[in-house]
Amino acid sequence: MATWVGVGHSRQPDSYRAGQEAARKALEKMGHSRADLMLVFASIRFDQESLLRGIASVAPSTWMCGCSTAGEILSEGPSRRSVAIMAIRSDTLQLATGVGMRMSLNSRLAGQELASQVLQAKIPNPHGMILFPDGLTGNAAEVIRGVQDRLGLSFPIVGGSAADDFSFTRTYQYFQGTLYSDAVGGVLLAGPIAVGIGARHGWRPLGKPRRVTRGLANIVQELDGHTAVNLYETYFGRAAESLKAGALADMSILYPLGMPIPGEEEYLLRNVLRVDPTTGSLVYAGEIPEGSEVRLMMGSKERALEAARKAAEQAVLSIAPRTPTFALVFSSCSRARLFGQRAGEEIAAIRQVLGRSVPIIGFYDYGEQAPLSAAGFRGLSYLHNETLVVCAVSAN
Amino acid sequence: MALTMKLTVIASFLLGLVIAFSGSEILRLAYGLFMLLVGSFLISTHEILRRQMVNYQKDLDRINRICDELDQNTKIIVQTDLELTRTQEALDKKLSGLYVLHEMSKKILSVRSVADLSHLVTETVVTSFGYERCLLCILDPDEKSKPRVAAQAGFEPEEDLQAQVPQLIEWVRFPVLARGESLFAADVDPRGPVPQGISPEQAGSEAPQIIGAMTGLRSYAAVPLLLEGRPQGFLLAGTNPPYPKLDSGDVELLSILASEVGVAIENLQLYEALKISYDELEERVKLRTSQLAKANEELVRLNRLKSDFVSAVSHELRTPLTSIKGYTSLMRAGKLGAVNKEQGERLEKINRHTDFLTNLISELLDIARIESGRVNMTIRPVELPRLLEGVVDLLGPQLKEKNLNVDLKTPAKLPTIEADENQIQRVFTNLLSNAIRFTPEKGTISIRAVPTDATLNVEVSDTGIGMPPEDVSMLFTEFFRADNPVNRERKGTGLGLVLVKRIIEAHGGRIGVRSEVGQGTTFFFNLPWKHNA
Repeated sequence: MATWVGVGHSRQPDSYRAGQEAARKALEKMGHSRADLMLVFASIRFDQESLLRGIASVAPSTWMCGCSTAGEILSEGPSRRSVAIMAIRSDTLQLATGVGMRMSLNSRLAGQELASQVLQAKIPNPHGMILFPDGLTGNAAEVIRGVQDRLGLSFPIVGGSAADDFSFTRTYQYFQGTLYSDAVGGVLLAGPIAVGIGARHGWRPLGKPRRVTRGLANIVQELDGHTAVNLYETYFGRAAESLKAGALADMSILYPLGMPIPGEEEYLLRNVLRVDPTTGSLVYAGEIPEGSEVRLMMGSKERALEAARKAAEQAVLSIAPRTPTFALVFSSCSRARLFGQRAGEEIAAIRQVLGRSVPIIGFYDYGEQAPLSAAGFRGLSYLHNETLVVCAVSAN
Repeated sequence: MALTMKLTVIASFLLGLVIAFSGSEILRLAYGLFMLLVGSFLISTHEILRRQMVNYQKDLDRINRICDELDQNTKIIVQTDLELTRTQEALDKKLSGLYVLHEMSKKILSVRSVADLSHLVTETVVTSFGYERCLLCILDPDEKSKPRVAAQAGFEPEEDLQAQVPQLIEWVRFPVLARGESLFAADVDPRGPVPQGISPEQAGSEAPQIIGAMTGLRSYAAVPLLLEGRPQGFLLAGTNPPYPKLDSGDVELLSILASEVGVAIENLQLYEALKISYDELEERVKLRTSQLAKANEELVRLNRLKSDFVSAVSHELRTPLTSIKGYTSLMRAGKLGAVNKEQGERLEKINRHTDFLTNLISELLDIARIESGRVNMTIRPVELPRLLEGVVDLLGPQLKEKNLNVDLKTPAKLPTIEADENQIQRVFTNLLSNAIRFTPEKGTISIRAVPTDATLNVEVSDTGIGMPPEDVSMLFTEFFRADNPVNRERKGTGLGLVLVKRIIEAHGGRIGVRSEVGQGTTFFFNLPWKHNA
C-alpha cells in the first residue's frame, strides 16, 4: 500500500516543450511511467493549447486537472512564468473527477454538475474535494454551495480560483487534457487516507466599520450610503488621484474588505478584482451580502508569515498522528504582492512545518476555498480571499 | 427607573382615591404631604436622568470623535503603507531584473561560443525577465552589411520568422543600427494594417507600427548591440497583453543587458581568435616535437653505432697492441739480440706510446660500456674512509714526489654506501691524479665527505693552478684538454673526467666543478646512499 508523488517544473520558452518537460520530470521523480492523476498549474504566458498538447504527448490519457495561475508554488519556493505538474499514483488514494461549465450563467448549477459527475464514480470513504474554479467569471461561493448541495454542507472543500498573472482578463481551467474557461474542475479524494486543511491570512482590521448599503453578490455599490470606490479614494488620499481606475484596483488588492465571522479568529476577506469606472462600484473576488458589516484590512509581512505557519500547523495537526504524503498550497495572488521578493519565505515556513521531504505543489490564485474552523459552522466550506490554504494529504 | 416612577404615580393616585372617599381630614393632610414628597422625588429623579443622558451623549460624541480620528490615522497608515508597497514593488522589479542579470552574467562566463551565448540570452529574456518574445541579431563578421538572427525565443514555431527577418532587420536597422539609438514602442497594434511600398528611410512614425506587426508585439523595445563602440546588432524584446506594457525602466534594463552581451560577444570573439591561434601553435609545437623526437631517435641510434664502432675498433686494436708491447719488451730486454743505445731509446718511446694507447683504448672501452649500459656493476656496501685511504696509499709515491699534503675530512661514523667499489676507486684515483698533476709542490689536496638525508656529498679540492671559465664548461667533454703548461708537458687521453662523470651518473649521482685561475679547483659530486638499479 503506497503512494508515489513526483513534481516536475519547466521554464522553457516554448509552450509545447515546456509541457513535455514538466510532465516528463514529474513522471521521472514519481518513478513510474504512468500516473493516476496530474495536477497542472501554469502561467498564461504559455500558449495554453500547445502546453496541454505537450503534456498529453508524455502522459496520454492520464487524468488531469488544474488551471492557469498568477505564479506557481513548488517545494523549492515560488516560481513565475513557468509550469508545475504533480504526478500522483497510488493504491490507497482513490480519485474521482468532474467538471462544471458556464459558471457565469449559473455558478451553483456548475458546482452541482461537477459534484454529480464525481458522485457517479460511487467511491467509498470520500475525504475532500479539490476545486479549481474560474477566478474572474461567475461566483465561486455559489460553486461551493452547488457542490455542498450534492455532497453535504459539512463536506470539506479546498482549492484555488484560476488566475491570469494579475491581468484580470481571462483564466483557464485544465480538465482531462482539454482547455476550459468559465468552468470549474474538481477532484474528489477518497479511500483510507487523511486530509488536513488549514487556512489563515494574518490581515488585521483597520479604520471604522462600514455597512454594505447596496450590493449584489460580489459587487458592492454603496458603503454607508456612499459610492463604494469612495472608500479607497478616501483612504488612499492624494495617491488615488494619480492612480487610474485600473491601477486603483491593482493596489487595493493589498487592502481587502473584511467581514467578521462569529467565533472565527480571523475576518473573512474579500479582495477587489476591478473597479467599475462608470458607477464606482467595486467588483470583489467573492460575494459580500448586502447589509454586511465590513472593515478595511491591512496586511504585514510578519503577520502573513505567521499566518502561513499557523495554516500549515493546522493542516498537519488535523491529520496527526499520520504524516503528510504530499501537500497542496493555494495562496492568494495578493500575498505574492505583499511579500514581493520575500515570497519564498512563506513557502519555506510551510515547508518547515510540513517536513522538508513532503512534495508541495500549488499556485497563487484569485480566491481560496477552505472550511471554516469555528465550531458554529461545523466545517462549512467558504470562499476566502487573501488567504493561504494548506491541504496536507496522508495516503500511505 | 421609569417603571418605578410609573408604579409610584399609579400607587399615589389609587391611594388618593381611597383617601378622598374616606373623608378624614388628617388623612387628607397626610395625603397632601405625601404627594408633595412624591412630587419632589419625581422631580429630582428626572433631573438625575436628564444629567445622565447628557453625559451619555457627551461620551458617545467623544467615542465618535476618537473613531473619526482613528479613521484619519488609518488613512495616514494606509497611505504610508501604500507608498511603501509601491516603492517596494518598484524596487523589487529593479532588484529582480538585476538579480537575473547577475545570474545570467555568471552563466555567460562558462559559454564558449557566440551561438550558445545568443541562445542563453534570448531564453533568459523570455523565461526570467518576463518578456514574451526576444530576438537577437548580430552583424555577420564576414559580411559586415548583413545582420543575421543569432537567436530567438518566445516565437511560436509555426510563425515563420526567418522569412521575415531580412525585412525586419531593414526596418530596425535604420533607427537602431544606423543611428545607434534605442527604439521604443509602448503600444502599437500588431494586427493593424502595414503600409506598403514605404522604405525604412522614408517611414517616420509608421516604423514602430510596422516592426510591431512583423514581430507580433504590442509593446517592445530594440536596443543596439555595441561591439568595439559601434552598433553591430540589436536586441529586441517585447510583450503582448495581458502582460504590462514596457516603460523606460525596461529600455534601461535591456540597454544594460545589451551592453553586457556586447562585451561578452567581444570577449568570445577574442577568445575564439585566441583559441584558433593557440590551436595552430599547438599543432606546430606537436609537429616540431615529433620531428625532434625522430631526430633524437636517430642521434641515439648513431651514438650507439659510434659506441659499438669504438668498442669493436678498440678490441681489434688491443690485440696487436699487446703483441707490439710484448715484442718491444722482449727486444728491450735483449732477448732478440743486443740493442744499442739509440735502438733502446726508440724502443723506450715505442713502449711509452703503446702504454698510452692501451690506456686510451681501455678508457674508451669503459666509457662505451657504461654508455651502452653493458657494464656490470657490482654493488656492495662500501666503507668510504677505507677506500680513500687505499687510494691515497696507492698514490703515495706521486704525493711524496711533489711534497703534497692530503687532508682527509670524513665524519667518524660514516655509514656505508651502496656502490661498485672498483668504479668509485677509479673516480677518486682519477680526481686525485688530476689534483696532483695540477697542484704545485707543497700544496694541499683536501677530500671532504658530508652526509645528507638522501645522498653523500663529496668534495675534492686542490690548491692548484685552476682553470678559466671557458675551460670549466668544457671539462667533461670527450678528448678535451685544457691548454696550460702542465698539459702541454704531459700527454693525457682527455677521457678521464668523462669516465668519472659516467661512473657517477651510473650510480645515480651528479658531478660538478668550480675553479678559478690560480685559486685551485674543486670537484664536487654526490652519491645516493642506496643504489637504484
